[in-house]
Amino acid sequence: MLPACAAPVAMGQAGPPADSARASALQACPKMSKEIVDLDVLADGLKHSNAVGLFEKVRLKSSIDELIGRMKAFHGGARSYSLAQLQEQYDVLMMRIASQLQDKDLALHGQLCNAWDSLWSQLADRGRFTEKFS
Amino acid sequence: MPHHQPMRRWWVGALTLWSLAACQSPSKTAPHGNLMREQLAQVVGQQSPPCGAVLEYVRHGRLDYRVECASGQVFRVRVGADGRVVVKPYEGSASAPQ
Repeated sequence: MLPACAAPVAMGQAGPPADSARASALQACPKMSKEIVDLDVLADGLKHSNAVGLFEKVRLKSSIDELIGRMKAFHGGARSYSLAQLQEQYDVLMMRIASQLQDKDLALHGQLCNAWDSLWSQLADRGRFTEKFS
Repeated sequence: MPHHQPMRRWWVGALTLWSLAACQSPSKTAPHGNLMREQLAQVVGQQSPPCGAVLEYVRHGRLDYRVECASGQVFRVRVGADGRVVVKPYEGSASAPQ
């Protein structure tokens, strides 16, 4: 049984839909020799990074798995979320991870910056997603 | 039986971690707005005094948000060109520097 957790009760407001174009941000990512090719590599990098505490590692891994689960449902035909909403959810999760890394693990942060859009492309493309996660 | 103590402690620790993680993990079908507010609260909380729950957010562009906290503070949360996440009091809000 899941523990009872207090969910925030508040009104939210979604802005304009997410676009597929490359964000105006992320135009000056540092050049890195290593790259993050998929979410598993990112999760593995987080696991071995000293920038993130044990508890936060568990929470981030859980959030990554949740997102993959929602993408799996989307590609399976569920329409609980639109692709634009899923991209927003992905972006905010990456913001959370980048914020953890940016002052403590510059190498992994740089790799994440470079991989930000390509990781999303991999999730959004049904064929590539199915090949990777099924 | 003393030799069972480390194993028991491991299980208690694992169960506690799982419970806390579950509290932070929204369900797969939570409304989009709730998911966004929870994640944005985490992002703001990492760089600024705790804002508590996020009451409202407005997306101004990809990777650029205005976030209103239960504490009354309003922040601009965005990602810079170098991939750094910047959380600053929103201009014109009570939490912005005078």
